[in-house]
Amino acid sequence: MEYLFHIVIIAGIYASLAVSLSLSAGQAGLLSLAPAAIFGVGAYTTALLASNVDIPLAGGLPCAMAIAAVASIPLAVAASRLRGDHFIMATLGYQVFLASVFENWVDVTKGPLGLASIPRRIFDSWYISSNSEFACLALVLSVLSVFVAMRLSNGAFGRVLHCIRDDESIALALGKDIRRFKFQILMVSGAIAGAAGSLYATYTTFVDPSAFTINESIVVATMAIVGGIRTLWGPVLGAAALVLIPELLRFSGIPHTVAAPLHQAIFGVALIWIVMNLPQGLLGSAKGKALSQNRKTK
Amino acid sequence: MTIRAENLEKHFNGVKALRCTNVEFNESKITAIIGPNGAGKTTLVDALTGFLDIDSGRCFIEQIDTTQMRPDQIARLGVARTFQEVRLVWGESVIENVMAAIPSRGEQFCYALTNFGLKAEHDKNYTKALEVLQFVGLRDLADTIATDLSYGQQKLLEFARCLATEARWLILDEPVSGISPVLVESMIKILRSVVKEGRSIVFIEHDIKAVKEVADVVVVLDEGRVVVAGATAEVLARDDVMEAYVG
Repeated sequence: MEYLFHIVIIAGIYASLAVSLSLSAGQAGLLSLAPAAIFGVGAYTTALLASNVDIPLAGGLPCAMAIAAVASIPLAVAASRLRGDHFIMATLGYQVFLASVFENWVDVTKGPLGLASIPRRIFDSWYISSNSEFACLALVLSVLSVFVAMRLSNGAFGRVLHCIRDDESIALALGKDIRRFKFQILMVSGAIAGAAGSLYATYTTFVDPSAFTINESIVVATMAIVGGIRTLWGPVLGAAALVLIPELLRFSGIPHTVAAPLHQAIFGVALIWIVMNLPQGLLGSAKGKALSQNRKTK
Repeated sequence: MTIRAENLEKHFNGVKALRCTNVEFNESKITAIIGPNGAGKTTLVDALTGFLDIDSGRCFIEQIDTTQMRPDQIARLGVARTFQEVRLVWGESVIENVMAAIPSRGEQFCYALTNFGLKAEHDKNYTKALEVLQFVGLRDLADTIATDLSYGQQKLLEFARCLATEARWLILDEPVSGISPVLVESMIKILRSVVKEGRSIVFIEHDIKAVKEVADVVVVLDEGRVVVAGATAEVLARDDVMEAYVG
């Protein structure tokens, strides 16, 4: 049962991370390749506060969110000057830069050795020892992430984001200060990624740079795209699917030496199939079909 | 209130798109900008609305120098525009496209996050968007996705979005080109009623019949310069204008 809760926790953390990416990329068209780096900022902030200053998760999480939001400012500055591919390349550079900081700022991050023995203290004398309790926290975080994404992507704020995503000139011609919207959405996206990182550090009790590389960013982007980057729940579905499928392969009876490469192959084929046949992702395409059927019946 | 351009210059890779262009648009009128392809009509509009950095010269709205302003800042001074190629939020409904143009407290981050007190404003804006759609004849298509509209309806929707901003100036880039004669008639009627409400319109157009029917003033551009400007009947009565710039 603990193992099942472990899967829920990892899926919940990655779901929040995928939602944070979908908020900036799916709603405002700002596809960042640095979500893992911002996630890492949140994780290291919590780890350092818990290990060095004895601040529990209740204090570490808001600090991680704030620091991760601040760490997103360079992305916002890039977004105000660059568009499309150029912005994506800038975020890639930022991902590499932050990953390098985690690796080389040994005095603070302990470099490749990482920070170990992070206490699982939530508040005062409340420690979490069971995975079931942690799974609840992870689920609450992912639901809250979706809630924030829902608030910001619906209504007047969301309409401006969609203008920016589809054609910035529309928003400009309507008198919208697109720099403000980009700044705000990237800060919120960063804060959510920071919160996910905070939970990750507390759960694993260990952080090292290998968890925050460009590969992780690509995995997060894949989760959001597979589930439906423009939908609210799609990234959650994508994260659940991409965390669950490798775990299911473990129980297929296939030897580990075969299962690992097979997992990679299945992952690759599934990704190509989804991009070709469901370009809006699992939920996005389902929603599109429902809409078109609804229009036909009208 | 006027929109004014003084000595505008703009080069594209050595080609002069605007050459010392001076022009003034007066309020409560419908002004048409005509001229052959490459005359600099869209370049002039882009410069006036801040979408294009000019090499030299100055732009004014009333007495405010807008030369260094961003497009959104100029739009907030009361200038709305459409584009030569229709630009819409394609995946969204007609009403959502119009509502995007109506200023709302919900655009403020804190209001959006808390959703505090936005219900009444949303209802008010929704009603207003429906009124605008009724005005342009798209009321029955309010829930249709923008991509499902005909080209002419898409142009009308882009125009409706302009109207919803409540800007005093509407700058339209070829509002009737490529649309059916029925929609052209409809658009002409709409433009007239908009001006009666006290708004001013500047539009670029190749359709001389439409220009004759609706414009009070015509500005003829050629090779980046204003060649003639004046009352529509006078300008279009000149044979040299009709032959040289309109064909």
